[in-house]
Amino acid sequence: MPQRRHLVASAIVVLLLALLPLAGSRYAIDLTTEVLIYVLFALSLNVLIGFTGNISFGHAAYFAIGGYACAILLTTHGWPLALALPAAVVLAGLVAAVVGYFCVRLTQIYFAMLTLAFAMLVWGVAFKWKAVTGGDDGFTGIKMPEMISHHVGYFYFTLVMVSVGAAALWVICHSAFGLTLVAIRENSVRAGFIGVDTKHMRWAAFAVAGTFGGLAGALFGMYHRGMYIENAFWTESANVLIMVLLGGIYSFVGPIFGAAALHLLQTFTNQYTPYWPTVLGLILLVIVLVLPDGLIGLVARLKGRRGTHKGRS
Amino acid sequence: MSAMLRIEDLWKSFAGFVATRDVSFDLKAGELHAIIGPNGAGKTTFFNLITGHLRPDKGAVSFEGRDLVGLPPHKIVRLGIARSFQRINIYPRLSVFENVQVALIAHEGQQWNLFRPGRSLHREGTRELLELVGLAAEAAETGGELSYGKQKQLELAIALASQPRLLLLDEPTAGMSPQETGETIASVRDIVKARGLTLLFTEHDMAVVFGIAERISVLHHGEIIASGDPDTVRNDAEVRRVYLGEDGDHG
Repeated sequence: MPQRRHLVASAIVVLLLALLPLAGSRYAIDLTTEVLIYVLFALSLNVLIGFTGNISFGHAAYFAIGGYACAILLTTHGWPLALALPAAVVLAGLVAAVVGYFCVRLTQIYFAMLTLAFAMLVWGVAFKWKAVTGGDDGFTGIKMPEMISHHVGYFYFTLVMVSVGAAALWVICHSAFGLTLVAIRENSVRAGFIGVDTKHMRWAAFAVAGTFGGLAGALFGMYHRGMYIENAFWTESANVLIMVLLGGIYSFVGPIFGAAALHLLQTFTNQYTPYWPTVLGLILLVIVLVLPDGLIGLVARLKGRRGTHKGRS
Repeated sequence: MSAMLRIEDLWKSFAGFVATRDVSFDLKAGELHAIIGPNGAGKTTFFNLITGHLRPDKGAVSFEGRDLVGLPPHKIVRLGIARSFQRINIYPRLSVFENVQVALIAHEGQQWNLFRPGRSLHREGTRELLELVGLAAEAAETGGELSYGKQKQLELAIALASQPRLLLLDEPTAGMSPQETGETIASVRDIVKARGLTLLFTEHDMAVVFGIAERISVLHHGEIIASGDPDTVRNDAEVRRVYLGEDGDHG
């Protein structure tokens, strides 16, 4: 079974990451925490893009809902983390289910535009509902539980959460459900003619993506001790979309590499030049022109293997 | 015996062009029935109306007594009608194996299982179907990279995976080499007989039609102009005039 090989490889990666605080500086630990959060965010979006074939331009909405909800429940309402985090994730999933209900009625560019429209609505709520969200000042001063208030503690917390989230997504994407989603991506008309209600399946995929996007957002807010309206803006949706494309949509692990590569590149570029958007533009050009299957596709081509550009890693 | 598939006064037009004109049609269980007619006669539209891909402007379609008009394709499949397509309609980036496997998953209603690995399900059933259509050796290949003829066979395997009682094949041998055509006719006939299926198919190639069909209906400008056993249809004056006469060398 190939599953065994994947399991061993993932365990080694998680173990190596767990050793990081022994050797790494605070800077390295914080940077890795950020990368892990973006990895989960990108993986969640790829359920929709890579597995279902539906491109969302509004995935930041669920990231922001998870982030704001967790922050508000912890701080304003004084909920314990063990309640606030699951509640925030469920809320993100529920909102995704409501938005998805409308979005899956459309396909292609119309679907994408509707996801964008709903995301802008979420942004508008975060901006206008000042009493609850802090408006354009952001929601700051999140009350953190003692155990994870230290940066090393938070790193381990994030590592566990992201590992569990990624494992759950892996199981879902490789399940009978996931394989059927790939069939819908490949040919949704044909999927209908084998008895699949493609609209319902796409709806479920939308809710799954939103749920895990919400978890990433909650982790992000706590990490930064605050949520800001920029986190709900469409540029955040574009950013995670580029991560997914850069890594490669036709593979489960692609977005992991895309998220890590893009975030590290952005961090390092910002140290030398203020022209990150220019660099980002160049990266996009390279993806579109020479890396249609992303970094994973490139690796596969270098290895001269065939067949990796399928719905699985 | 009453009809398995009953179609009454069916009409469909596209922006003023009438593709299906007052078609009434009965199909008995166990029948092997061919729909023939020149290009543009409305054969594919007729199939699309039966399978829910298109909604008729007027008329009734019922299967085993159940009204099909307005039902989406995925519900009609579940009632026991599966189809193949004239133009290749597979999952190009999935393996040949997965193309069939996912149809079996859907047939069993397992598409909502978020936990069981999709690749571990119905391996036996998938292998059997691939053997049945002669694709066992190509199981690991990517669907979209098969030859045209083999993709057509894959179409057939996908349709059979839905365990239909009524099988609709839209030009099952179009684009195939003469050898592939011969093999496909033989295998379709065997499969349909062995499984006790009812078959409705459209076809261009007269050799295929007369090789399989027990009854033939001729569609011309969206209308059924003749219907009956092969000899009756072959000798029908109207049919000879509009269709068989044009390329009589096939008949």
